[in-house]
Amino acid sequence: MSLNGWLQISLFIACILLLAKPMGDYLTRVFDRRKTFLDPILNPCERLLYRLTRIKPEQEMRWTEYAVAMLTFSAATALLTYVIERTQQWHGHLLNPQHLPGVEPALALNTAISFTTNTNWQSYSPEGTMSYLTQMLGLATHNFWSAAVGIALAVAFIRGIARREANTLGNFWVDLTRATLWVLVPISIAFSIALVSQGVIQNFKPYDTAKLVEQQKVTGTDGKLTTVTTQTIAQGPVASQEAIKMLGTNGGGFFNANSAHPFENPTPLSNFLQMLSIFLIPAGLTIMLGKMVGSPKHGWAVLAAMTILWFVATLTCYWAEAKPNPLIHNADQRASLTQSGGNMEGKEVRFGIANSALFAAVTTDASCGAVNSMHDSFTPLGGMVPMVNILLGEVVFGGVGSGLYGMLVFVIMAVFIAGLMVGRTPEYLGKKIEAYDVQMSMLYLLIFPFIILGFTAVSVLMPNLGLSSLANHGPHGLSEILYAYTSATGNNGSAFAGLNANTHWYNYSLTVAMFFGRFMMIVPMLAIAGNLARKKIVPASAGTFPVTTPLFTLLLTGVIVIVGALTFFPALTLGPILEHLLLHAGHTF
Amino acid sequence: MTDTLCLLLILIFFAIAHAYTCACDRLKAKPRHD
Repeated sequence: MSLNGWLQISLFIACILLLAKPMGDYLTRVFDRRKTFLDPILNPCERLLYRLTRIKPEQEMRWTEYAVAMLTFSAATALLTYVIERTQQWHGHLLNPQHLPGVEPALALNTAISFTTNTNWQSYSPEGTMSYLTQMLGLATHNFWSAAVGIALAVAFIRGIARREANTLGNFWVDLTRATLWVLVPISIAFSIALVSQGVIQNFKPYDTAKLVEQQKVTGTDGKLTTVTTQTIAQGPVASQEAIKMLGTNGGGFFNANSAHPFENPTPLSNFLQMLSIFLIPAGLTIMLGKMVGSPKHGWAVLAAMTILWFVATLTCYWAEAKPNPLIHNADQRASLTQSGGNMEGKEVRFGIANSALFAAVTTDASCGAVNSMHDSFTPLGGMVPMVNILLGEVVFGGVGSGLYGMLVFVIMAVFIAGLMVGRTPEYLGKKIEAYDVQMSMLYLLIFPFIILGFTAVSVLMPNLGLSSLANHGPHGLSEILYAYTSATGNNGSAFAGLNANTHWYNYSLTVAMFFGRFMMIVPMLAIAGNLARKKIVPASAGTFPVTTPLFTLLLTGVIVIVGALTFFPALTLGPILEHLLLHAGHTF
Repeated sequence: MTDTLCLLLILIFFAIAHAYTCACDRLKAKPRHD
C-alpha cells in the first residue's frame, strides 16, 4: 500500500461526502415536487408524457398497486428487450454494421431479465453479440428504467416511514418519470460529455481491422495452432451508454472488458469520475431520507454506517492485492517508482492496485458490477471482498434506490434487536415495529441466501450441469460458482471470469436467480412501507432508541455484518478462505 | 418453439411475483391469535 494510493482513496470518499448533501437536497426537491432549475424544460415533457399515457399524476397508490404497476412496467420492458435481441438481424446496416445474427433464445432471455433487474450480468461478449440498436434501445434504455424503478421504490419506502395514518405511497408512474427526467437523463448527458473529453468513443462506425506489427500464434478451441495477422477494433456508441452504466449502478459494459477497456475508461480521471458516479445517487438518497422523514441526522447516521463498511472493504481489498505473492521467490515485488508491486495480474497499469481495489469495492458495495480489473485474478482474500460486499446485501451505498431500501430493512432489524434487548416494543422514527414488519423483513433477508446457496449447491452437485464449463477446480472453482449466483441474486453483474456462464444451465438458473433476487425482495419491502405508512406516530420517550447517534450507526453496522457473516461464513470458508490457506501452503487452483 | 417458451417464462415469472404480492397483502389481513 502506498501514500499515493491512500491519497486517491481519501480524495474519492471526500468528494462523495461533499456531494451527498447537494445531491440529497436536489433529490428531495424532485420527489416532493418542489421547484428545481430544470422545471422550465422538463415540466412540459412530463405533462406531455402523462397526457400520452393517460396517467393521472395526482392519483395515489396503495403499496399493492405500486407493486403491480412496477411489475407491469418491468414485464413490458423485459419482453421488449427480448424481442429486440431476437430480431437484430433485421436492424439494418447503420444499426448493425457487423451484421450480427439474432441472439440465441436462452441468452436473450437471460439478458432481458438481467437488464430489467438492474443486474446487467453478461454471459456473452457484447461487441461480438449485440448490434448497436440492441445496445442502445434494448440495453442502455434499461439502464435508465431499472435505475429509475430502484429510485422510485426507495422514495416509496421513505414515504412509508414519513407518512402517518396514510394508505398510499405515491404514484409509481410519477416517481419513475421524475427519476428518469430530473435525475438520470441530465446527469448522464453531462457525464457522457465529460467521458468523451477523456477519450471515450461515440460513433456508429463498423469495426476497424488493424494489421499486427508482430504476427501471433494462437491455439484455437479445437487445439489447432493458427497464425493471427490482424486485430478487429470494435467501436460504437460507447460514451452514451457508459454514463448511465455507472450512474444507474447497472454495470453492463459496451465491451467485454468493461471499464478495463481503453475505449470505455481511458484515463485515471475517467476512472475517478466513474467511481464517483456509482456512489453519487446512493449517497444523496441517504440525505433525502433524513430530510423527508424530518430527521436529517438519521440520514447522516445511515451514511456513516455505509462509509464505515465501505472503508473496511476497501482497506481489506487494497491490503490483500498490494501484498507480494508468496509463491514467487527471488523477485522484487515491492511497490516503487518503476513498478506497482503486489498482484498486478488482471489489472490495468494505468489504474494500478489502489484504483483497482477501490473500484472493486465500490462496484460491489453498490449493485453496479462494472469492473476495471478482473476479480477472478485477485488474490483469494482480495477476491473475497467483492463477494462479501454483495453477500451483505449491497447496502453499502448500494444500487440506486435498492441500496437504501435494503439498508432500511436492516435498520428495522437493528431497532427490532435493540427493542428486544431492553424489552420494549421497538420503534423506528415514531412508528412501532410489529410482527408483520419483522415477518416481511425476514422474508426479505432469507430469500437472498436461499437462492444463492441453493443454486450453488445444485451446481456443485450436478457435474454435467454446473461443473462442465468451469475453468478452475478446488476452492477457486467453488468461489467462481458462488460468485456467479451471488452476483446474479444481488443484481450486481460482475463475475469471476473462470466460469463460462453461457450454457443452458447457467443461462436459465441465473435468470431465475436474478429475477427472484430482485422482485421477491422488492415485494416484502413495499409491504413494510405500506404497513408503516398506515401507523400513527408515537411520541419519543426516554425508552426510545435514538436512530441519529453513533451508537445506532455501530448497531446497524454490527447487524449487517453479523447477519451476513452468520449466513455465508461456511460457504466462504470452503471457497476463498480455504484457497488463501492453501496458497500459503504452496497450492494454486 | 423456444421463443414461445422464453416469452412464456417471462410472463410466468411476473405472474408469480404478482401472486406473491397478493399473498404478502393477505398475510397482513389474516387475523392473528397471538
